[in-house]
Amino acid sequence: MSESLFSWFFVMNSKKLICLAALLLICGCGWIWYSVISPQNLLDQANELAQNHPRQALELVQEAMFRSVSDYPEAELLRVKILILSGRREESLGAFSLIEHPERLPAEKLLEIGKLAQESRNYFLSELAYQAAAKNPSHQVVALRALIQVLLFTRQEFKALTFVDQLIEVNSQDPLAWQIRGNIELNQRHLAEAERAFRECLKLTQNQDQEQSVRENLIQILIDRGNVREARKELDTYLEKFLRTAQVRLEEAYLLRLEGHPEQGLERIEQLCETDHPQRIKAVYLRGLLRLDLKNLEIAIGDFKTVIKQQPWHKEAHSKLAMAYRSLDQIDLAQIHAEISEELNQKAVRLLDLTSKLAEDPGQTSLRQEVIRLNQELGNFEEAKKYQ
Amino acid sequence: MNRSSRTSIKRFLVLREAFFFLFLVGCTPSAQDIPESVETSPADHRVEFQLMSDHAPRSSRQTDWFLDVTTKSGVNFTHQSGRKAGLFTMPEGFGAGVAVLDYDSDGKMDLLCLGGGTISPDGKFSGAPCGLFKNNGDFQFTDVTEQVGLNVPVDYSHGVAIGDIENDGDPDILITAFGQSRLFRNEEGTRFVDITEESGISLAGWHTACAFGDVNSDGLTDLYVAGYLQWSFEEDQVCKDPESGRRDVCMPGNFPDAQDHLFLNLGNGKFREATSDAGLLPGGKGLGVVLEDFDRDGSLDIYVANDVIRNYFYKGHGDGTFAETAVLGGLVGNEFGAPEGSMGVDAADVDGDGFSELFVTNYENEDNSLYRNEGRGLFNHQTVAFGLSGLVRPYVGFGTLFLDADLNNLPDLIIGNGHITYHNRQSDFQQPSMLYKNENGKRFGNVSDQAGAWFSVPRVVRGMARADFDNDGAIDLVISEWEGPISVLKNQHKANSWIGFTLQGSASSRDAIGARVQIFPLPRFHERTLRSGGSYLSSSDPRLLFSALQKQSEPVDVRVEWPSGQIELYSEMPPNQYHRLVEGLGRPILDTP
Repeated sequence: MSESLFSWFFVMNSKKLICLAALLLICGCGWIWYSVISPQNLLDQANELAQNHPRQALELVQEAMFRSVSDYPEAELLRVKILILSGRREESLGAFSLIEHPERLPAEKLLEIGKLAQESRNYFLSELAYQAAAKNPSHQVVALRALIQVLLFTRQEFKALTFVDQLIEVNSQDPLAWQIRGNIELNQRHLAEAERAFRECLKLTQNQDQEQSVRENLIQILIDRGNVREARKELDTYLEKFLRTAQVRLEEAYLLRLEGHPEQGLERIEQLCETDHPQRIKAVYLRGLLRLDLKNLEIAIGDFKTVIKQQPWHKEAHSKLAMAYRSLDQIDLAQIHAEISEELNQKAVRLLDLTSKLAEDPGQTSLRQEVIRLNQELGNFEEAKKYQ
Repeated sequence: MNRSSRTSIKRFLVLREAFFFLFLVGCTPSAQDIPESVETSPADHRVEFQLMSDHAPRSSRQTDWFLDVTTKSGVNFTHQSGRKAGLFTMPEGFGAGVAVLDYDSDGKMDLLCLGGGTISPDGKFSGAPCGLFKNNGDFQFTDVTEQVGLNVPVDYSHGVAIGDIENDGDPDILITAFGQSRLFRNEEGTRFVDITEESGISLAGWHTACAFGDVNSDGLTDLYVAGYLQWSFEEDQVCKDPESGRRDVCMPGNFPDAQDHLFLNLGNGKFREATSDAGLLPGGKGLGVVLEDFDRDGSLDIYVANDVIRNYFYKGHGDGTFAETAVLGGLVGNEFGAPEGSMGVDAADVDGDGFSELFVTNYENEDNSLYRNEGRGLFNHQTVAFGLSGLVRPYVGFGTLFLDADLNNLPDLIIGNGHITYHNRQSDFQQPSMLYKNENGKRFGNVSDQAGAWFSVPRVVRGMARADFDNDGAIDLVISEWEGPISVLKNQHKANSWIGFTLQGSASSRDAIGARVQIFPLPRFHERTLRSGGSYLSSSDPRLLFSALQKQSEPVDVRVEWPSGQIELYSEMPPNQYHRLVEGLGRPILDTP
């Protein structure tokens, strides 16, 4: 075989040699094109450079798009990624919108875009990316969960509910979906629906932590709905399985108050009031309420003062402090705190009004500033941050 | 065009679209964007049937506290809301009240029902006539509306107050409305005449709760009227449930408040508006009003239950002026001083300390509020302590009454519920009414399951009034429902020893609102106060009733503190009947017993 090749090489004429050389050149060029300057290769290189050299990466992507013979959605998606990493929010959103059918792109990459956008607080883009990813059946659950998280963070709870329902439709036996639904309904004070969702979750969950968290919420809902008897039943069930958390101690004390046993309520939270637990201020406030119920006015005043020192915006504590001072005939002090409470209440009402107006016209900067200021004055710092 | 320039134009367009999309997502149409034509869909009309599901009441028991006697009573009257027009207007959800009065002074309490009204497809409101039912005794009533001249057109009616504006002994009627409120003079118990124009009571707009009482101590009964909203069909908004997108009635917060009014009686059926001189706060979204001398300083005070905004407490000075003291008084709203959606209101001395407590019904997810009166105009929110927290939170409370239903001399409590929005995911439109028993003046216990078959059915209750229709010493009930019939409920308890009084002022106004009555020997809760207004858009039997007398068949002595300041003793009053106590005919006394 090798002999014949060798002899063929020597016997071929110069024309043939030229042909061969040309062939080799074409192959070489092809190889170089494929491995160095093909759109896919440019994209690979751009991807590597994206993190540290976004400008060059972007040039490579644009080059790849220029070299591609048709639309190149993968390149457009990479461009979106680079724009996010470069902090060019509007352009990244625009670039994503350029992709005609993002749902046809690999779901992993869409999830990556969603995550990056979320991290860079480009929530609308993140929402679009997760929505596209959610159309891929194999990644639907992950994408929907991520999407719901974004929607909840951006306070689009109604919209989130739609996707929670989709999540439940995909798998009605998913306790997490029911838990999320319950949490959303609870945030919106849809107590009946929240209760229903949490009860579904409890039927399905095998996870102890999840069960504990859901049962805690359920107790809170039943108390808030005024269903004292059911709340007691639920609390007893909880205590058979779990130890009292600080939250449950608070709920139990509040339940005892509703049942007409303020002394026992006090016993439940005394210890919590003396710790540096994050729930301590709530406990001190509740202790004040219980002491007020028991007509221990002076020490109740001490509790409300402690709360107000930590949280001067605590309108309920001001109101109760006013009541306590009033009962002790210290009318001037009562008047001061009643007026503070009233002022804070008016601010809260105004905040509600402005928040709904801002939702109608998010571009109003002065309105936004006012909403931020009121949120800060009322101690809603997380809310204020969201508007910032 | 080369490729790069095409790309840049495409990018510009995409960016522009992206921003536009962002704008769209963040915006909902404002009221100005909404066309005036009203959106109705077949689905909206279908809901009407779902709203009013048929529930069969349980069968009556002998041990029930109340028995529904409507069918046999001859009271056949149904409220109209105008909902069928499918326009989702604000006034259509608020229902109308009922009033109990002895219009012909025959000693038997008659019944006045308000009809509400209808709404045409182009948004024109028309009032439905009211109905006056004469009490023939033994729970038999005759419709005398036409006979007494009350079959006249009125505007879309809501509230009613009864008061003797000329001190002639004949109770007159004020009917508030969306539109023009009307004052009817009772002419010797035979006829009612519309004297709105000559009376000086000019009340166009939207007015709801109202009550009569002498607030400037001149011996003439004055008038307080609550305004609700500044709303008109032309300036209505289209409101939708944000979740389902279905159209529904709007929330009151979407519209500006309407002003409350005070009219001072000049005599001879003439009134003068004194709203600004009286020191009333601007605005208000009032749905409940009650007049009483809450701080026992000899002057009538006024409590106004406002929807969405905080409630008002006007401490009277006795000269027609007031100081609003709800904030320091602890009467603004919930336990923590926040405003609520308040609707109905009533007052009674729940704990027997001589001071009347206030009770206010509220919107769903809010507790109703029981304010314990600590004297000096200071109240303490005691809903939790009295066991009234919770159970009614899923419901929207309207009419409410304190009444000694079980005849143990302690005021029990009844609460009527029913939603206002049509498509509520949280709770049904029709809701159960509740009855609470006063447990020794310390707590209330839910006895709704013993209340009677009527209570076993969820309804859309609005107005409510108490009356002893058969003069047997047991308080009966009359209840109005939204787009529903008037119900007459007979109290099934048998009164063994009781005594009742009609008060007739002389130096005081004839109605004697604010008078206090004590009986001797003293059973617990031996004192009653005559108040005006209360419940929701309704007016109750003006007589004062004592049950469970200490010595069953022996006469009692009665002490009356008249609003004029006069204190008189009326001796040897036989039990188990009603008596008329006339100011100036008792034996004057100076000291309290």
